[in-house]
Amino acid sequence: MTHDEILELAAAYVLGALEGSEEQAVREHLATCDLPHPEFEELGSVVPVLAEALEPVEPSADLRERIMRAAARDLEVRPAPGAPASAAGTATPADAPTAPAYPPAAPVSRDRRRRFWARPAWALTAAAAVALAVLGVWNVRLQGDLAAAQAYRDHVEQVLAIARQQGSAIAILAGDQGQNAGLAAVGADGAAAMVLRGLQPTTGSQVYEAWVIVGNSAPVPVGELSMRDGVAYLTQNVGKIPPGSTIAFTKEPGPGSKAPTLPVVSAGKLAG
Amino acid sequence: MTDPAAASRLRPANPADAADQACLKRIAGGQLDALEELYDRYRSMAYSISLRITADATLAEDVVQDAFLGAWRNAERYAAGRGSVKTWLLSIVHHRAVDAVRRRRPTTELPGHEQVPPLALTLPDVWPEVSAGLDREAVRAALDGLSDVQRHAIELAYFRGLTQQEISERTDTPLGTVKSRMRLGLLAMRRTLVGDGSEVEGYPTGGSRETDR
Repeated sequence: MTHDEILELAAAYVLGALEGSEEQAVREHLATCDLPHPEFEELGSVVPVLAEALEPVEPSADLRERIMRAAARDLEVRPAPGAPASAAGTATPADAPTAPAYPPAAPVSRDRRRRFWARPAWALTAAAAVALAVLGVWNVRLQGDLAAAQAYRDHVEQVLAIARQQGSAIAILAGDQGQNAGLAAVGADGAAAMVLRGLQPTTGSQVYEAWVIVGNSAPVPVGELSMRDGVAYLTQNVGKIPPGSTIAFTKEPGPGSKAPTLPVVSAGKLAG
Repeated sequence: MTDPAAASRLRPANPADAADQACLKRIAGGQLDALEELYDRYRSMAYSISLRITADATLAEDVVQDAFLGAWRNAERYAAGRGSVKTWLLSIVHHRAVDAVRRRRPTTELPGHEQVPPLALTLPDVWPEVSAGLDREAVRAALDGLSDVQRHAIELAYFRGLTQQEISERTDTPLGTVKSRMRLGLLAMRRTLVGDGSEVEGYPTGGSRETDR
């Protein structure tokens, strides 16, 4: 989109009235265009006051209780006091070689957590094997590319090796139309492997970045995918991630992105 | 983007925000009572926005819960230079409420993949507010000062979560007209609320490019 076309979208952008792809185009433009965009601030400055026009309405009394309970549960899984919680939003694989500190995790009750960790490893492996069979057959038939199929199988084997461990979780990955399918596993110790097929090749400095989203927290980058024979993969320690967290992948203009560039090309939820 | 003088005209010093920022610091440190304090200060505004957009009491409460837990978990990500804590918090509420209603409308394209919490990926930029001290009457008067079609377009966008395309279809109005109604409406409100002096120098804010056809 041109600078002028982006300006045309300013009012809808600040009001939140764009489709996801348009909104993303505006974001990318604002991040990369050197020209000033005063219209965005000018129009955007009015938007917060719109809410002032509403008569305040009291929510039910038990909403406070629900929120405070969920927040208290959060504390149980937060990093220890003094841990650099703020690093979670800014850590990149480059400047954080150790496992990144995650934002406070989604509320998971003690009981649920115990059940999760106690789930037998064979159940995970069985689930992973089914996923492999389905995805493998689908991919080979679709692509008919033996080298890619072999590379895919090799990396799926790494994923399965982690999935077999006690306390691991797996995610079946796919784009919104079922494309870019793959598999990810995260071990109890944070060791992770993920593999995807069908991603568009990158050009120039572009990379595919993996993100972890814990609960409703902002996505945290965990590493760039390597590409070989049309297969994208990542093997590295990503830190402990609670079940129910989402692993998502985006194509970034270059390495080291701190916030994802939409659209999400593939994603999946970690489950035990 | 804007010159600092214009920015400071837009954002007068605000003692309430200083208190909010202190509160947010304690939230980042994991202090539950600070979250309760923030909740008590903004629960009714948050809920009124959410309820207006979702028109569903249960969903509206879920959205508010989501938004406050989002603030609880991401307090350290708030950037003081980008606007007040109140603006930040209420924009989270607004975005989550819009996402919630769009998820119920299959025709609307959602950002990202369905399994990804959309808000985590589309956390709004936070805009400097016109003024923290505006009261309801002043804002309503500014809204009332708009033409009916401008007000309607802004309401459908901001309070109903419609996209500009959906507004165009629903009101049987060309998309270009919807765009200029929203734009001219916001500019008119700004003029009413802060006066002409705040317009950014060197940028044409009126002109024939987008008149309300």
